[in-house]
Amino acid sequence: MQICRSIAGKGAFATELMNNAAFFEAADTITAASRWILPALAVLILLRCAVSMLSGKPEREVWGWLSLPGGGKIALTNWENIVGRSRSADARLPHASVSRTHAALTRDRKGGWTVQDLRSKTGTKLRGKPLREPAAIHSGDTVAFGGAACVFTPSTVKEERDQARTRRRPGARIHPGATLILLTAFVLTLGAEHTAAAGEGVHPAVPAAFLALAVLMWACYAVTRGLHRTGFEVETLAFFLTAIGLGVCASSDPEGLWKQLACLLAGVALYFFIGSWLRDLERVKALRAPMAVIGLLLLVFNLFTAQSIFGAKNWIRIAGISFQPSELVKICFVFTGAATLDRLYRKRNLIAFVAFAAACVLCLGAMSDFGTAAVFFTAYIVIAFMRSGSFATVLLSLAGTGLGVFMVLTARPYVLSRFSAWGRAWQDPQGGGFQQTRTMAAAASGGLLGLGGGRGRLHLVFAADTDMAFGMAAEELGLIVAVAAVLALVLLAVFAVRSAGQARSTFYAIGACAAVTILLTQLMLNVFGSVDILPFTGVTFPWVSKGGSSMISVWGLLAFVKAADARQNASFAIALDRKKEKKREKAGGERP
Amino acid sequence: MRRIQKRALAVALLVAAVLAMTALYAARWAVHGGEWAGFPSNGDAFIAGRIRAGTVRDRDGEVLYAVRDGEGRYAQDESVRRASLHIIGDRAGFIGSGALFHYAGTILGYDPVNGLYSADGTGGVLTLSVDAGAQRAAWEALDGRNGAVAVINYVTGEVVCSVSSPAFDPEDPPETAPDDTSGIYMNRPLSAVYTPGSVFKLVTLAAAIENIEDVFDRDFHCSGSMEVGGGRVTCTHAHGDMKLEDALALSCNCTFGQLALELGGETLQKYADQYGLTQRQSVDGLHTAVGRFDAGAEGSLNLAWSGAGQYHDLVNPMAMARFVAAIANSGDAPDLTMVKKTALLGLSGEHIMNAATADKIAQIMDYAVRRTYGPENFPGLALRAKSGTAEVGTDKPNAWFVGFIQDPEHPYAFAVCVENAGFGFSQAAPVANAVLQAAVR
Repeated sequence: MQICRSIAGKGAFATELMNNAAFFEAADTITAASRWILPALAVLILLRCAVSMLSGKPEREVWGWLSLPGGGKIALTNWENIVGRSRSADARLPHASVSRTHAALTRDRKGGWTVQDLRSKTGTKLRGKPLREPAAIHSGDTVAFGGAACVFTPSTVKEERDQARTRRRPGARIHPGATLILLTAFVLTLGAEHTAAAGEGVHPAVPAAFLALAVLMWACYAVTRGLHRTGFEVETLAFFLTAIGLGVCASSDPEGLWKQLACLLAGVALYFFIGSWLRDLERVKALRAPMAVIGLLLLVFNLFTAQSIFGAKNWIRIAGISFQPSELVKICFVFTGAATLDRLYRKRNLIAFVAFAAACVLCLGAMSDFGTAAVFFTAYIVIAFMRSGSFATVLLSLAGTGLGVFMVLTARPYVLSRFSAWGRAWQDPQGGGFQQTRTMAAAASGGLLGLGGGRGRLHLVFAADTDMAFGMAAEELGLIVAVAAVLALVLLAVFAVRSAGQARSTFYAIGACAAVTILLTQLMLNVFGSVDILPFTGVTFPWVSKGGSSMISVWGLLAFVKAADARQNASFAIALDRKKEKKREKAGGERP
Repeated sequence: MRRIQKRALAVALLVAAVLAMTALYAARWAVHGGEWAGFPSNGDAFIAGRIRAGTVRDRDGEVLYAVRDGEGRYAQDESVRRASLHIIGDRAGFIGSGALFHYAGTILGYDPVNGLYSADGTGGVLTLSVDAGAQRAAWEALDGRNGAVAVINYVTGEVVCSVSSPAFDPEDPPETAPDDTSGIYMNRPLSAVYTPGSVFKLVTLAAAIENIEDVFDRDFHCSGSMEVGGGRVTCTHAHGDMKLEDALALSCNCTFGQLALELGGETLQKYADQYGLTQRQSVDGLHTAVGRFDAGAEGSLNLAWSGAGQYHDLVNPMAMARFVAAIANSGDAPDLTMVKKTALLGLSGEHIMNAATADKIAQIMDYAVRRTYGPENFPGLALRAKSGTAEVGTDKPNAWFVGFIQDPEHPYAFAVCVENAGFGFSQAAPVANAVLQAAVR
C-alpha cells in the first residue's frame, strides 16, 4: 500500500508536469512520431537481447578431470556428469566393460564431489572397494568403472578462479545498460503517448504506471549490478513485455493499472526470491515434495471454493480481490517436475510425477479451464520426455490423453461446440467467431506501425485486455511490436534450450525448459487462438494480458530460466561464492 | 547433462510451431488485411454502422459520398444520390452490397504499413468506375418505373452504370416497416432475375450458328403461329419468308421456336451455362443472382418457348450485360469490377464464346438496328442491339433492351430491363439511349 501511494504521488507529479495544454494539444504529433519510434526501439531491443543471449559458442566450464591409465584425460565439464560408454555420456569411456550409462559424478556448490553407480553391469569401485551407496570422492582417488580405472582430480580453487576470470561474461559486447536505456525510451514514449491520447482528463495511474515501471527496471538493474552480475537480457525481455501489457491495461482499464502495478511489484519480488532460493540445490531438493502438496492443495481448495467467472471456475475471491490459484500452481508444477541427475537415474519411473500431473490436469478439467489444462499438459509432456528420454512414455501419455479427451467430448458435447468455430471465424462473425474476427480486424487496422497507444477501440470488446491482448497490441502499436512481443518469448525459450547444456544441474535445465514451455504454450493458445489459427481458449499472454495472478506467476516462472543461465557472472540465481573461495584459498588452496 | 541438452530440443518443437504459426498469421494478414480492416464490426472502421472516414468518387472525380468532420454526406445532386443509392449503400446499412461496406478498407485508406491510421483523419479515396452522369441519366429515363440498368466496359470489365429502381434519397430515408416488401433495398442489377423474353434469342442464335450447318442459307417461314405438341407458338403478326438475320431482326418466335426444337434442350442448356447466364457472376467478390434455364421436354411447346426466352427462363441483368460484352469482345467476357482501373495492365476475363460466332452475332445485331430499331433513334452511337418483351403473366410485359456500341473510345455493353413497362423497343430502348448518350459525352 505504501508503495502504491508513493507511486500515486509520482503519478500526480507527472500529471502536473504534463498539465499544460501544449502537451495535450501535441497528442497527434506525439502519436505520429511514436508510432515510428516504438517499432524501431522494439526491434533494436529484441536484436540486442538476441545477440547478447545467443552469440558465440557456449563456453564449457571445467570442474575436474578423469585421468585414464593410457595417459589421456577427460574433462568434467558439468556439475553433474554421466560416465559411460554411450555417445551421449558426458565423460565417455569407450571401453567394452563400461556400461552405456555407468555412473554419475556430481559436484556440490561447496566443491565436494560424489560418485554413484547407476546400476551398471560391471559395477564401480572407489579406491578398490565396490560402490553400493553414493560416496564422496576426493582428489587423487582411483575410481574404476568396470574395467576402466581412472584417477579423479577436481579443479583447484585457483584453476576455477582463473576459469571464472577468463570466461566471457555477458554484457561485454552488448552492454545491458545500453539496452535498458533503449527500453526506458520505449516505456516513456509509450507512457507519454497514452497520457497525451487520453487528454486532459487522463487517469493519474496512466503516467504513474509507466514511470514506476521505468524506476523498477533500473532498481532491478542496480540490484543485479550490485551483485556483480552482468546478465540482464532475461529481465529486459520481461520488462519489454510488461510495458506492452501496461499499454493494454491503460487503454482498457486505467484504474486497473494500480492493481497491475502492485502485482508487478509482487511478481518481481517473487522472481528475486525464487531465484535466490534456487541457488542452493539441497534446499531446492528438500522443497520438491512440499511444493507438490501445496500445488495440489491449492487446486483442490480452488475446486471446492472457486467461483465461476468468465466461464471457467477457477477464481477465488478473498477480501474483494479475485485471484486464480491455478496460476501459482504452475510454479509448483515446475518445481515438482524438475529433478537432479542422480534422481533421474536412481528413480527411473515417473509414476509419482505422472500421478501429480494427472491430478492437476483433472482438477483443471473439472473447473472447465481447458486452456490451462492444455498448458499443464504440454509442460508435462516436455518434463516427462526430458526426464525419461523415452518417446514411448510421451506417446503413451498422448494416447491416454487422447482417450480422455474423446470421452469428455462424447460425454459433454457442449465442450465440442466451443471448438466448432475454429478455422471458420469469418463464416460466423457474430457467433463462434466473435472474438477472433474482431481481433483480426483490429490487428489489421493497426497495420505495421499501429494507430497509436490509447487510440484503439478493440478494448471495447469484452475481455479484450486478456484474451485478445495480442490484437490490442497489434491495433495500437502495430504488427512489428506485436510480433516482437511474440519473438521476445520465443527468444526466452531458445535461450532456455541453449542454457540446458550448461546448467549446473539437470534440475535447472528441466526447470527452465518446463517454465518456457508453460510460457510458450500460453502464448500460442492466446495469440493464435485469437486469430483463428488455434481454437479460442481463455489463457493469458504472459506479461501482456491484464491480470494480477498471471503477472505474479510469470515472474516466478522466469526465475527458473534465470537459474539455468550458467554464463560467467550472468545470473543472480547462481552463487559466485567469491568470499568463501578466498577464505578457502588462504586456508590451503586445496579443498578437503 | 549432454542427454538433457539433447532432450531440451523438445522445446524447439514448440518454438518451431510458434514461428510457423506466426508466419502463417503474417501471411494471412498481408493478404486479407484490407478486408479485415473493413469488417463492419471493426470499431476502428465503423461507428454504429457508419464508416468513420473517407471519400467515394465517380470515375471523373465527382463526390458520391464523403465523410467530413465525422459526418457522412452523399452526392449533391438528388438524382445522382437516388441513382447511386444501391452501389454506395444507405446509412442504416440495409444495403449490404454497398461500396461503404464492400470497399471499406479502400475508403478508409487502408495500407499495410499504416493500417487505418490517417494523420489528418480524412481517410482514403475510392474511385468507382461508374459515371455519375450516366447514373443520373438512367435514373431520370426510368422515370419512376421499376427496373435495372447495367452498363459495362466490355474491354476492361468496369461497371460504368448500375442503377436500381425503386430507390430513395439516402439523405432523406423513408420509414420502412421491418417486413417491407417494396424492394427499395434490393440492388436489381446485381440481385434480381427477370424473364428475358426475346433477348434470350441471342443464346439460341449462337447455338444455331454453331450446331446447324448452313443455317444462314436456310429459308424460314412464319405464318404468325406454329403448332407444337398440342399448343401454339405465336408471333405478333405473320413475318413471311426470311433468312436467319431477319428472324432475329424481326424477333420471330416461330423461327426461334423451331430452332430450339431442332437444337434440343440439352444443347440450349449447355450454351446458357457456358455463357454464364445460369451461373453466379462476381463483381469484385459480390455475386449476382443466379439465372435459370429449364428446357422443356424434347419436341414440346415448352422447349420451343424456352428457346425464345419464355417458359421458366430467368436472367440477371449484370450477367446479361456480361454475355453481351462477350459478343462485343470476340467472345471474351471481362471480369467485372466497380472500381476504376488506372492501368489497362492485367486485364482478365473468360473466353466464353467462339470468336467467329461472336462476330457473326454482332453483325446480325447491327443488321437488327438498321432494319428494325433505326440508327436514327440512337444518334452518334454505333449501336448493335436486341430488344425483348418478356411476358410475365397478367401484368404488362417486362421491357428489355441489350446490346453494345462499336466504339473503341467507348466500348460499352448494356442491359436494360424496365419492369411491366410494355414493348422492349418502345420502353427500354429510350432508357438505353439516354444512358449511353450520357456515358459517351
